[in-house]
Amino acid sequence: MPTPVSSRIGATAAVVFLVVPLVALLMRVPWLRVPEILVDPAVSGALGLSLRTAVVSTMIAALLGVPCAWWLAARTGPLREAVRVVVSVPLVLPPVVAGVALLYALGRGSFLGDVLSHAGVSIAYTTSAVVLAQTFVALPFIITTVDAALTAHGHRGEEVAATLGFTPRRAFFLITLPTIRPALLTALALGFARALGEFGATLTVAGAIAGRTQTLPVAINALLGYDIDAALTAAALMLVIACLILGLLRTPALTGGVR
Amino acid sequence: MTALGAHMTGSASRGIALDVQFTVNPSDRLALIGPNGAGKTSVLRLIAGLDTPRPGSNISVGGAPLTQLPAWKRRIPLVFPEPHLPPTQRVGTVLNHIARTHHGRTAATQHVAAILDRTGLTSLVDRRTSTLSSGQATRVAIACALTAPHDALLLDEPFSALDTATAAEIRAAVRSLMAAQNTPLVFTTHHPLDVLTLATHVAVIEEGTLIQYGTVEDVSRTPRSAFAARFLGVNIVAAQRDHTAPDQLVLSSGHILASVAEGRDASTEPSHVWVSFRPSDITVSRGSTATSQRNQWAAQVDHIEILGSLARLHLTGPLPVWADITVDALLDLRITEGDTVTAGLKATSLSIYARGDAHD
Repeated sequence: MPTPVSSRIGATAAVVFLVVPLVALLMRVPWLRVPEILVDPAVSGALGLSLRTAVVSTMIAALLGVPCAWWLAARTGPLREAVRVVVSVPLVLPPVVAGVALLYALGRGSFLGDVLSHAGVSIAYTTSAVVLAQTFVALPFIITTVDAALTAHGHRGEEVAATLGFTPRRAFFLITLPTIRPALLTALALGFARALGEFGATLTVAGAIAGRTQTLPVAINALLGYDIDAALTAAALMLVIACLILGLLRTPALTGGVR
Repeated sequence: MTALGAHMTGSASRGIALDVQFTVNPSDRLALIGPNGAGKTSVLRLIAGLDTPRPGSNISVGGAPLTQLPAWKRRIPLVFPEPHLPPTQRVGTVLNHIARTHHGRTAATQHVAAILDRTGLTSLVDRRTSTLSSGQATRVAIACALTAPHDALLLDEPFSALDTATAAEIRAAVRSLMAAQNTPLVFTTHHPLDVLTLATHVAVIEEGTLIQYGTVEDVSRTPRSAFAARFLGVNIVAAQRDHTAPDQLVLSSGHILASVAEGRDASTEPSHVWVSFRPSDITVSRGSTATSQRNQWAAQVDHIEILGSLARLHLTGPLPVWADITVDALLDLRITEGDTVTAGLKATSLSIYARGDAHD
């Protein structure tokens, strides 16, 4: 169907607006120094830490988020709507606010922080804090994506399974999860991408200790001060990873064959 | 071999107040019929355990009460109109998951192989369920139900999404599968053909209430509601017996039908009655040709349906009825919609039986 001229103009403007800064970034990347920068521990170490923490955060967020989405999709009533609002708040919260909130929940002087420090555990400014911050921002993506898929899918499949002798848990793992697999994989990819890109909350609650809490986005922020080439290269690296994840989301395995 | 007992009272989901009670014996195949929204599906969902029944309701199999058990412990599979198979899985995997709920690994594999063989679906074992045609998906859904442990089987409008030929094929398959295993079958349908070819018994449900329960023969010969009569292709009219003239039946329109008194004592006969007769019992002619028939009236042809070599005339007038005449007769008499014709009905072709609400 032909589209009106106004929509084509709008589409062109939007794409230009989004792509120009990214192209400007790529044009400034010192391509000849890239191999050297990538093996620099400041960058490679941060990349390694980012990937490890983001994988762990995504796994934790999935373990918490999928049961939460299951509960949300099975319930009706005002409590469900209230929980839906609460779990979506981190989506719109400035990450630095999330960081401050986490710091006051788990840092020194907070109730939980004191309990933990008596037990010999300190979370603030450790790798655990990085995982915590990333999980905090990734979890809402996983919950809302899986919740939407389960709600759209309805309960008919689970009802059929129940009359065939499946316990509710067995029906969930053998019938429901395979049915919503595309949405589940999308949720994991979005959660991972969000965790990998986490910056504000991480900096607030975990700081920027090289090798321990300095993830790639935090490292870019630091590098901007003294090695602009390395900062640009690391930034381009994040861009490539983001494109890879989003590209993966469009593959038939994740869209369930629907494009 | 176990009978399925169902007794439901009180409001079910979607606000329908139910008052339904029946027992389905092992070799019985019960068709639930009724208008849309009458509560047929609610009855199946309550038997399967998908909705919570009201106090006083009672579901049992072989005398053992099931009312308090969750669906997955009831052993009563329900097949929905849309099969709802997990889309990414292979047919064999789906069946194997079901068999594993009550069999070990080796036994499950053997059980699935046996079911596939019985249902003739062996060739579909490696197909992903999303690639199946609607007929194949329905067959697989039925195979799923047979794979699960089951003491009874429920089908909710199983053939409604299928084309006529596929529906006929699967109906025949269900009939032979059920005949082989002697478990009660309950299904809902909107198609008289399903009732006449698959069911042994019929339950007529209207507005949540069981109006009539009986064998297919009984219900189609003596239907007790306008819905059941229309569904099974029979004419019925409510009438009152005139006790001073025992062979006179007074309709609510004031029209009088003559019946055969057969020398019975009119005072012991029920006074509120249904009068039923087949559409083919009506004669249709042009003008007022005097015959030996006593029941003759002027009727308007509202519209005409063609059923193969028969024409079904929907007649209005003092007695709104269906009249089936041959297409040849239709052409000979040059009847068209809007015409006035003379309808006749032999007194001997009437079935007269007590009207339910009076029970007299």
